Amino acid sequence: MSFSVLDSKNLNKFIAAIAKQARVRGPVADASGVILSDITPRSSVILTYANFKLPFKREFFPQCEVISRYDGAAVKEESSDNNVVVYFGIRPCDAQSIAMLDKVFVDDKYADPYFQKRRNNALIISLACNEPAATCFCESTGGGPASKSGSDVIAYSLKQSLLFEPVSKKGEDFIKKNAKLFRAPAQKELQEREKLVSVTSSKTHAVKIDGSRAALAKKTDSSFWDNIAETCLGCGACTFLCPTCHCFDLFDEKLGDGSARLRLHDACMFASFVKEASGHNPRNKKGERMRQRVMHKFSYAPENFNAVFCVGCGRCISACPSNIDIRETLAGVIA
Amino acid sequence: MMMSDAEKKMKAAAKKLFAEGTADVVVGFREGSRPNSSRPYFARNEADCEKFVWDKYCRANLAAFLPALFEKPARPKEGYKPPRIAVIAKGCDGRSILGLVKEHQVACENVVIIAMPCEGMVSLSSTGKEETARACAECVCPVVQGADLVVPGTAKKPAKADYARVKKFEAKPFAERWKIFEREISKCIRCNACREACPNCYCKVCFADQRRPAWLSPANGLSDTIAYHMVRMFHQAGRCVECDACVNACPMGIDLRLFTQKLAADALALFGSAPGVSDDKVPPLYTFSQDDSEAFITDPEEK
Repeated sequence: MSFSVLDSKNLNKFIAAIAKQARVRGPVADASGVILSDITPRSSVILTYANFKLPFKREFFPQCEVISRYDGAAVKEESSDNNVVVYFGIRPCDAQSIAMLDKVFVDDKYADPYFQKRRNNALIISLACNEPAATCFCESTGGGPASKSGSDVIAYSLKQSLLFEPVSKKGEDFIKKNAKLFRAPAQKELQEREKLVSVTSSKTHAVKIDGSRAALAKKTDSSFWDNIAETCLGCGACTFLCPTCHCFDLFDEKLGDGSARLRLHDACMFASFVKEASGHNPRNKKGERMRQRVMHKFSYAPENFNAVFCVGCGRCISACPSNIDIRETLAGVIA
Repeated sequence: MMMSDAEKKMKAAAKKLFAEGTADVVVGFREGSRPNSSRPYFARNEADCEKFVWDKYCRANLAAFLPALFEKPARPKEGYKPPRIAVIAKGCDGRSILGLVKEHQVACENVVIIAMPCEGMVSLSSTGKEETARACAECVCPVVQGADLVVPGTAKKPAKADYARVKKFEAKPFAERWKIFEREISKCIRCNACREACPNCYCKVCFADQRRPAWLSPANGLSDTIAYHMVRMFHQAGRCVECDACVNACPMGIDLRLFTQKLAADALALFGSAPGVSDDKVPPLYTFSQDDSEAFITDPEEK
């Protein structure tokens, strides 16, 4: 394990150097909080925040993308840009979510070219968490405030410096290529890193996930789900903000004499999600839709991809207008 | 926190409804799982009522649950009767219920309004401090009139509707107003939380979800998103009780209030409509008169 140090005062110099090689995106403040945005050496990059409101998945799997166009005569695939993007300041939970989505969009039987292209062009520098929210439970979902899954490099924000640790081969090459930007760490900085990780880790909340898959298989009582979904309004806030929800819909939109084929995020909490052309809806009740969402994350994903599809970021808990809480749902399932 | 007197009396009233057999469901609030929060809760028996809370975090508009609760099942069992539902109601919940009764979404004889002495709810300021929610500070009706049961207590004094923010907005030139509107709407991720949290949005199939014809694209392009919000808001003219259920539900922090309030201000100025407060009027969207103002068409720039 090797660490490289960037003095905090040189952060803008670092961004300037990287910006010559790639498009750089990182955390900046706007009226609604901290967001992921294009950054330049002049940007005020923020290093202390719980997380972005919107999940990182949107960078690779946008809410809406045109995948092909029909001009009235022929169908043409939409060409997306081929820019290399360096992401800086991604929270480890969000980086982990990309590793999960890789299992669906890249490693599975059919690779998704749109996701894959953006993924290949990305270098992810995550930033170990220093401010977990009251709704965070990443350690229970196999991650943690300094989890490396999905990252190419992980950075630790210390008092006066940033400690960089390569994770993947891509990350190692990146650090090597930019070696002159970094210096070797002092012993004190390594100790500071250890303290940061343990202090942050102690601030996250534990949720029992083990056994959820087996327990879900037995949770056939529909009244359990009806009860949980009773106050569900049927909006898509939980799924649209979830970093691992990846269901999508294809929609042909008429444009002049032709059309565009769009790929859009869909949400299993919408009543129309599995509604059939006949008008029949196999999941007509809110409870049935709630069960689907929980089953997908904690039963089908472990079955198909050997991973719980939840990173414990807590976005669904804080965004739900009715405060339906996945931690309580799981406790109810396992109980 | 100590149980308030109003909370005690509310629980007793709810329990009594079950004991007397006059309610099947009582809709209220229970403690939330997030720090300093309360959330909607349905009590179905006397024991459930113990979970009810009444504090400064009871922000959601509970009337939003009523249309679905009163929806007749597709294949009703023989002798189906609509449920009897009681709602622990703030002024805004109550005003919305009265509106839903008027619009035949709620059977008047099957709903029990328990009026609470609302002191106003809190929201977090930009610096993370608790402050009286804007909707509550500007609330003209903290206690609903004509309730079936009234929980006594000291309520907030009704504010006078001065629509200061709306007037300030109206005074701006068109281009600037449009810029503000676009800035807010461009945050939208089309999750429909505003619609689902709104008691007035009960259409069986929202125009935004209709596909034959597709009135608008499901994509979150700015133009379609603007169309979604415009149509949804215009459907609220003279019906919106300015409760901010949409604002509270929005995960993106869109300032919807500025626009819904503009419509409410117009409905009041042009039609004397204040839904759920002065309730003798036919709602403006229900009727037409030759004297109706057309200035918004003929002189859109005129203040």
